[in-house]
Amino acid sequence: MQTQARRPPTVGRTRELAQLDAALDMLRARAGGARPAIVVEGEPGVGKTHVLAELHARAERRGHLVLHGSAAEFERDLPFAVWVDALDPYVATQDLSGDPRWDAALVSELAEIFPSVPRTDAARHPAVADERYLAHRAVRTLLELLSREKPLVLILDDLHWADSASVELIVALTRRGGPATALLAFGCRSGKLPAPLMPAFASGAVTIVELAPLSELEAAQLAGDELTAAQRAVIFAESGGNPFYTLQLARTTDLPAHSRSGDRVAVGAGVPRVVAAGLIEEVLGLPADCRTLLEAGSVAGDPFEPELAYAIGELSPEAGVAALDALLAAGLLRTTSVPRRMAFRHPLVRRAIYETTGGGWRLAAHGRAAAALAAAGTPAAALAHHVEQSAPPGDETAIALLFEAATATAARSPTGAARWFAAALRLMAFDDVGRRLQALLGLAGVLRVTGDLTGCRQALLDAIDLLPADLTAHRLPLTAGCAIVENLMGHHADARKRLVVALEELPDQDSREAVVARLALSEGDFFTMRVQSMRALAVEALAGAQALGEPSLIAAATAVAAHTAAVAGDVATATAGQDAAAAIVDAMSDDDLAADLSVANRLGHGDFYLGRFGDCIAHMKRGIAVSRASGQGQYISLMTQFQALGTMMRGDLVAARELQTDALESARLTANDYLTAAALLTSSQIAMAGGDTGAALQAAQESVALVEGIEPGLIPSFARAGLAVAMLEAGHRAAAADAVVAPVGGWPLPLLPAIFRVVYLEAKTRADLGRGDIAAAEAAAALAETAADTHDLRIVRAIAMRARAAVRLAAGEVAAAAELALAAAAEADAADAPIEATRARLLAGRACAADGDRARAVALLRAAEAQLDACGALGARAEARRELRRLGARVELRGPATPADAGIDALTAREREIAELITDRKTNREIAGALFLSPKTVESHVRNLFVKLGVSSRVDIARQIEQSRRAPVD
Amino acid sequence: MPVFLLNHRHSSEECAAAYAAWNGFDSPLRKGRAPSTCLAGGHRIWWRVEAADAAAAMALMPVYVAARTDAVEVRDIETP
Repeated sequence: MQTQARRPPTVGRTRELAQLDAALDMLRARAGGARPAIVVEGEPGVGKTHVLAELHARAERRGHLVLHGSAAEFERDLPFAVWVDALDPYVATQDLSGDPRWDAALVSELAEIFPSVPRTDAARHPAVADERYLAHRAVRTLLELLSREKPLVLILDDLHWADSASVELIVALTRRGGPATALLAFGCRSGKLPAPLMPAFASGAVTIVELAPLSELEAAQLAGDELTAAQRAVIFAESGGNPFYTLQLARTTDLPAHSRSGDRVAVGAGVPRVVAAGLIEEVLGLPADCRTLLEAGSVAGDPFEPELAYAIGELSPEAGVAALDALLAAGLLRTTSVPRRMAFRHPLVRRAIYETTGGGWRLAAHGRAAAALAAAGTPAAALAHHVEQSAPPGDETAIALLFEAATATAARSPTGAARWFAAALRLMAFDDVGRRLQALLGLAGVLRVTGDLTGCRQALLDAIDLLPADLTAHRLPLTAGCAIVENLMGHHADARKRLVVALEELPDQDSREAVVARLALSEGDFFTMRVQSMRALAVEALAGAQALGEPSLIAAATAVAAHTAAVAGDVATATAGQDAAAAIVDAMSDDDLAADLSVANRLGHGDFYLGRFGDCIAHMKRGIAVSRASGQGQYISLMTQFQALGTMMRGDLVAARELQTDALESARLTANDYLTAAALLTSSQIAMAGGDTGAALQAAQESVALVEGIEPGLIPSFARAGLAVAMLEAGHRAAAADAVVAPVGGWPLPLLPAIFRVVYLEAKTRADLGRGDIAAAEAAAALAETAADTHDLRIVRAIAMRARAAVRLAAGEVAAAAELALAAAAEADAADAPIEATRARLLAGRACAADGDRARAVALLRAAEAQLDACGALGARAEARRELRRLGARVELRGPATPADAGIDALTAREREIAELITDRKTNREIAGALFLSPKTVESHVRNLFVKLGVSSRVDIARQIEQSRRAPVD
Repeated sequence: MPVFLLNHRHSSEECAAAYAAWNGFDSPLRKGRAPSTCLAGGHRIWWRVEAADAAAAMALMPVYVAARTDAVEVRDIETP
């Protein structure tokens, strides 16, 4: 919301204004698809808002749509407040329903953020905090819609006070790039940028406009001609060239008198005492009602509505209106773009006035604010701030409201929810164990989602302390939960010790609690890959669960036992266990499964380790659906990753990438290094399978950096193996890659499950052969074979055989290489792994070519090229094409051979036609009908569109078509 | 050119939207002054415009604002 009062003239700032113009030029040109963003930084009062107002005016002169919002100092708890301030009133006036992107899913997400977007009646699962990225994508789409007809300049000021949900959204937009048709412009105090924004803003994607104080000449010009040279000199000496201080001092009659009243205020904000004194003297010179209205306004907000301030200040409407007029005339308040909303001259003025109010009055004032807002039907989250400030301990109404606010905001703003849970706890009686537990568990839950695992752990420990020692049935799940958190923090030893002690203290070692403790211990041992212990505990837990006969416990223990057997390489036991676990889980109702989602998670992991990719996908899909339906998000990222990996192995890299994008965004939002590192690794693997070595390397590097210093275990091993292989693929020195894996046991990769180990070792074999290091390749292939020997799995065997075949081919044993490669392909086919099978056939083709059997080689390579193209495995496809060309065979080009071939311009007429129909929200069947094509043919074209446009969804296709439809703005 | 009085009203809940609607809308009315009762709680605004007809007068406002506005053709009179 922009303030409307006359702005002082812009003095100086030539370079900064040129930066603004450059950003607007870039927006106009949309140069290279650039997504411009700009941040104006500086100390309080230096003129950030003024410069942003200049941007506003300049953008409007260019005919752009400009929307403006500000965060406020004492209202940092409303989710997406700065976004709502900027967008909501405008969105209320727009009919966007004619656009295909304005669908039920989008409206549903936006309705959670913007009050003006009506909630739909469409059945939808509750929002899950771990999937906050869906809200971020929805806002990105909204920005695209708002900037359809003219470029949008979105100004978000005072980011240093922005709520956490708003900050997360900005991070998401700057990381992925906002719409090319929008310029995001931010204002923020120097050194006060919210921490999550720092990496994004430091990446170079955001133009920094740093405002320095004015020169003496400029400050004198701003102060005005009516002052004497001596006065202007004094003002400059006191203000240091800060424009707000300069103007404030220029208003001061007794310049530059030092006033004791100034000592009390605004010093915390770094305001010079003489400036604060001048401000206070200005206020003290006002009639009593004006002072009251100012003080009440400082409690009500910035901006605030007069009626609320009248209620807080206990002013009659008549007295309030008179005081308001006087304050507007004095310039201490100004109207905003909505006449009924008043803003302070500057946030520093609000703060100074707020600080001068007495503690008792302030407390009562917040109480009156809460009462007035409640009477107006304001949602709990919007008045919780006043309740927190004013409610006395034991205030049942306040406690209930804070709970309501926490619950209402948990999914969208877990940080805000944590504040309300903590506030409720402060008001509760110490002996109110039931509700304290409820609040502590709520607090732990939202802190986990924000990545504050230290706080989450402490909340769980506090909850455990509340429970009497003999209530083991209640204490043990909390202890297990605490151990999970510690494992996610990388504190495996602490987690293990906690569980061992808890288990030992149990009076009955055959109890349900003992089974739960053993399962939790087994899960912890998986992190550190203490395979034997992990397995023994699982077997013991399973026996205990079966003795107890409790179905849900049996399901959990069976899944864990099967999973641990698979990791240990006992394929026969694992397979039988997995069958049993799947039978139990498949028979469970969704409600029963929701009671312990770790069961679905472990079952899907076990499926993958056993090469049962279809089962893995199915179980993870169901687990994710049940997670969403029950509002639980803790396993969504992990389950989505394994769904993506299963999908990759089944040969659909486009879908795998799409799933993995979701998984990574979800993991990043948890701000947990472990989970994010794991998600990055999966991204790296999928990128590698697709032949995007650069992306694979980048993701693996980030992953390793996140787990640096954590004790060797599963995730660090994954990270380092992934990085080492990506480095080799990218042509780094072998010694450098060796050094990367050295801390986790070197190339045998002993801490990895066999299926991953063999994948990495085969990749190393290829890379070694590419460098001509046959000895290293031989060693890597031998390690892969060792993995295959100990894990009797088709997929493991197939990949190890392929590694060996490659070595044989390099050694000149061409016939044997071809035979082995084809055998590997058959194994991979049987394992339902088409990419792995096709890579083996590609190798067989190379071997046949080397053996002089050109016809067979061409046939194998052609088939491989087509299959790899269909799977989106572009790196291997390029290899097949090179081999075909080498043999003088014709190559049918499909998809993006090079970046220059990609994009809208690379589409054929038919593809463009289909893309246009997709943009018009036609289904494949409808498109087939319209164009007289078979649905299969349409599917094939759609797949090509994904590849050529480098996108992974139909919405993305529509976006690109929409952008191409719009003529450039001149 | 005929003169129209644009008689606009919105509810207090619509107040912010009624002003936000003007963002990005190209109109000679923008940045001009107009009498309004919003601050006093009445939420009515009046503009006096010249336009070829009522539809042209309404087109001077964003759709959201126009939907809450009547255009009345007026002529100046001399008050007795």
